[in-house]
Amino acid sequence: MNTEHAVHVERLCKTFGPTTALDELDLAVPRGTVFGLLGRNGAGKTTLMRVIMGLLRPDRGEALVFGEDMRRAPIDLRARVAYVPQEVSLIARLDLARHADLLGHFYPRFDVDAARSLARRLDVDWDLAAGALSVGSRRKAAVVLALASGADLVVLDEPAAGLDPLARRALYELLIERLGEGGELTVLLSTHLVHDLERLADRVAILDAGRTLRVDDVEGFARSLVRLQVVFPDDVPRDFEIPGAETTRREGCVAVGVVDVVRAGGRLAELEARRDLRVTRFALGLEDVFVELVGPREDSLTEVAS
Amino acid sequence: MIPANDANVLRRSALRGLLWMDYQRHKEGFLVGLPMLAVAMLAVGAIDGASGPLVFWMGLAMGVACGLGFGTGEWTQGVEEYSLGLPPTRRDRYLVRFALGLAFLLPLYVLGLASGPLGWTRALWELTPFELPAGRLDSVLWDGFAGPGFCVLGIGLSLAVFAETYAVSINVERRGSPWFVRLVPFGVGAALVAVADSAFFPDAFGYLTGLLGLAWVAPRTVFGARAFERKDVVLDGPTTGGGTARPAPLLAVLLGVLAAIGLFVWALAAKP
Repeated sequence: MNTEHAVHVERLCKTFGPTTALDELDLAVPRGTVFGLLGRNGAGKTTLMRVIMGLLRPDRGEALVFGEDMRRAPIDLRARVAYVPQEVSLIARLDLARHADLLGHFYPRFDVDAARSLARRLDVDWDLAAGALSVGSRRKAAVVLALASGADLVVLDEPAAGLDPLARRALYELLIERLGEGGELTVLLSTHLVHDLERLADRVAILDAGRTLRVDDVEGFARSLVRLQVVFPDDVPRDFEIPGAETTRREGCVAVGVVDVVRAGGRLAELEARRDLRVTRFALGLEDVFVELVGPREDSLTEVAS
Repeated sequence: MIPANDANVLRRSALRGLLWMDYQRHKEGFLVGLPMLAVAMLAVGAIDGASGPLVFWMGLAMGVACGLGFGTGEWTQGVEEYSLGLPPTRRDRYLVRFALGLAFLLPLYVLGLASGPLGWTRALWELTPFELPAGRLDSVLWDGFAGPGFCVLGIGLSLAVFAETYAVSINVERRGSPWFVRLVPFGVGAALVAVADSAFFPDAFGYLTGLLGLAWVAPRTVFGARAFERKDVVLDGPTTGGGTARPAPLLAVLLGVLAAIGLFVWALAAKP
């Protein structure tokens, strides 16, 4: 039982009929971090969160929260976790004030005053029934309640989906403030908005087809993957491969590839030391890394070089 | 502030929260239940020879309460993911909803016991412009409770509606299965309601209550199924979402409590 991690997932599998949602997925979320799950639609993010929350039964493998399976966890452990699902459905006839009263029964450290203050800052009507709130306001309200719950782990599934840029910014500022207040709050956040993660996340896992492709911190992604352009004096030799690159694209005298710096090792330095070639590194943002890892590889060389 | 490390205090607080949440979510339903009760009381006076028809409403009310307990209400209202993601375990939810069911059932029993001797049915009937039915108004409920049919009917109907609601929550796991397979549990539940009704109530009243049972099951089937179809992925059935409680032991407890109440009333009524 690993309690160093807020969430520990091992070889998790979940299928829905013929569809494999999670495929031997491994993940460890250290305590006190903001951990982002990044993946395109259908990558398995929501299913993973539902399994972690004990709402879906995995076919194989295990998902532990603070060392316990949430399906069997006692209430005191469950009260350390707050969850905001993608499809936020607060209780329609209760206003936020009553939701706060209700959650006060469930979360021992729930702070009603903080909830009211956060709601005001996010411009969510405290006294309006949840059913009368817009989808965006309901989402903000759910995040407010989760942040005010005093939980040690907050699980947010696409919290900013459907929010306008101002609301999204306000929401994340709130989250950053809350994280800055100390304590050991862990946030597990799924999104397909890369810039949100660049701003918030300490570590990011890129998921695709139910598997973890890579886990690193944002800077780590930028350090470990670079786009390399190699210009030859003549046409690129047919057998030339950029070291550490999964694919090398060639057009005339230019070869381009995305290089895993660690995997390339000393071969990259050797290439860069060659005097007959002009080798240039281009830094990649998280979005570029994401596209390189999971996206189609059909961008033209001209675009890449430019 | 609840002490974070005291599971018992936290559980008690969560149970209170669940009760409050259920009351808030279903208070209109409770208000609807009161006129139903009045109608049932009138029916008791109107049907000559009926053996405690109020028991039918008791069974129905119990079934409603049990149905909420197995998450059907949450599924059909679309709040299951948020609600089941909250700290209370399934065990806590079952307990609270059984308590709600019993809290709804027990006053009905008391009312049933008291209404005959105290003349409440007569008083209620006199509020209507209709003529008082002749006969057993003052003792019909008392008599009805005295027969063995009371226990069988109360438990049988509760079970039938329970089976239907349980089937709803189980069916969410079988979204891809053919319609006729998914409708089997509902059909069985409806048939149980109809058979039990026509067996225990004489003449047309049995068919009427049977039809009521069917009318109860059918829209729930349709709305429930439509709610599931709208979801991208439905959550698992009644044993996920926290806690390891399986419904069977709790159902056994419920049946035991019902049987004990029934025996108590039977013994009371049989007393010379």
